[in-house]
Amino acid sequence: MGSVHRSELPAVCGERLKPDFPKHSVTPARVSLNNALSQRFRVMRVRPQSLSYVPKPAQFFMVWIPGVDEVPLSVADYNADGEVTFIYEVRGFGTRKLSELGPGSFVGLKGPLGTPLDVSEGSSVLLVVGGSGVAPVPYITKYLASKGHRFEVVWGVKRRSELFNLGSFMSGVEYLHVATEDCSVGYCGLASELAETLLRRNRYDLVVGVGSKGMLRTLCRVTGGVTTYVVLEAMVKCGIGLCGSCYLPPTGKLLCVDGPVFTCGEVMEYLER
Amino acid sequence: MNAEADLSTAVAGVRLKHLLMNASGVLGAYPEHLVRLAGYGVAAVVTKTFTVSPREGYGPPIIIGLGCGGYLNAVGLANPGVDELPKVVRKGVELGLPVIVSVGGSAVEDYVRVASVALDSGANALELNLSCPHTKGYGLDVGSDPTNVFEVAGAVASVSSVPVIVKLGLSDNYVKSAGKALEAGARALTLINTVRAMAIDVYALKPVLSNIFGGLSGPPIHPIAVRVVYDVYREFSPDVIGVGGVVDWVSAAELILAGAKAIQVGSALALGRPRELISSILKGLSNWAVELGYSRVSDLVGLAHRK
Repeated sequence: MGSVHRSELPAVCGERLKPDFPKHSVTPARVSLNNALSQRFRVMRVRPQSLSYVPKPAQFFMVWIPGVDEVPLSVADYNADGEVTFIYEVRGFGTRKLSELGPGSFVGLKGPLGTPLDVSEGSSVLLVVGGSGVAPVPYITKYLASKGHRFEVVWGVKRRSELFNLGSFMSGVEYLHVATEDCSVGYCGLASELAETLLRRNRYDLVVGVGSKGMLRTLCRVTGGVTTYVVLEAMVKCGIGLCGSCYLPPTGKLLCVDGPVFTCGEVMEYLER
Repeated sequence: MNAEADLSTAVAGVRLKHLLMNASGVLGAYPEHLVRLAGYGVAAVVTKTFTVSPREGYGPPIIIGLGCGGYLNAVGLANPGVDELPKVVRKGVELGLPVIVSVGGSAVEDYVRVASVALDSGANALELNLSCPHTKGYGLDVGSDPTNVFEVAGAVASVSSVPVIVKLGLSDNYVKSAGKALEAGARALTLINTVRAMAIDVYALKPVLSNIFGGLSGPPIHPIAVRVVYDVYREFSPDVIGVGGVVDWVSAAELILAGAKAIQVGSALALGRPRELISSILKGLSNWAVELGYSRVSDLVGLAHRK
């Protein structure tokens, strides 16, 4: 009979799971930039004192605004100097207070959290972005470019004033299609409609959608047999799979640990509700 | 060579195929949560603490990992209220798992109300949360007063057709409160809850949790849980569900030797691969019992008390 030693088991006090407590702790990060990009979006760059892991595309941090709130923000970029960039919009009290923090202020980062986008298939990708879904897009494009994918981006917004120079944040994009709902620039209509047109016209090996539930629902319906990943948004409170506030009924999945990246098949029931 | 020990147990008269269940507060507020917990491989599901009215809980941050290990949380008993409880219980029953409903309240009548809905819905046991350390009027301030414990446990036990379990935390009076709970009709005790604590960020110069104070869980409280289980078992030898910093089979085995017949796992479920964690704890416990020459893990309950 073999005896069991502690080291053979996945224990917090053993080696394998040990790093996860620091991953869930709050790392102080100093704000180096916090500016408006357009009427809707802002960019913030912070320098964390230490990170347990290098963030991967589509992962997010819970960003603590000391004494105010903690909000989930997708990673828009991470550079060799260890700086993390976020693109965000002011939606409520927490993000308004965040927008008021000047360079030198401290925030706290919990993460990186969530399961990253992991793409091994496809050489031709259509990335469909709606509204605040733009937040993780620069880091996703950096990742796709590093894997040698060719890709086009569809970016849909409600009105012209929301647009900013997204191209300056992205890497390796073959073509950026803009769609506006007020028909002021580019395609007149929704990002999902433009995506459908492109899908009929061109051949893509992979579709990645980032945006509202409605946009992703439409996208999942029109991509046909093309493998499609969707990056969801939800109410995240704990970020680590304990509180259950970000569950996606009726699937039983939790956005914060199972996502935010899913295949259409995994979350279609949720998107259809 | 690969003999396996019997991992089944019975606590408060509820038979379980093995010793492990989730700790209350880990998911358990919606039917979908129970599906997920069942997927982790627990032998029973413990719901989130339900209160009469829905509670939004505190604003984030509600939970943070700590540099010393463990978590600090102040969720604020967020739950959708007792009207949503029947759906949750029915889902647990549908999944074929014993359902233990965690019952919360700020007055005796609240506990009785939530308990009766739980009973009507088919709950297999009730766990009275008399130990939440961060929600004023809803927990530890009740559980640390033996008279209150007697009153709440007695009121619920008198209307309950299923076993009542009282969950107590660390307080000056835990042995006395445990005795009063049993005297009032509790069939088992869950020991312990999180321990009131706080964390301050030294750069932001502020407490991190929105509620300032929270409950400490995970490895830092494990030795405290072992001590409380040991103390209470020595005094009354009741059925005990041990909880606090269980992260592997060794930490579970310590609680068993101190007197726990079943074990709840909380924080460790957030560290990734919860299903693998549960099965590795069970495998470890089985191997441990066999190595010591026991065919049933339940035969090891309380053995640390042997002279």
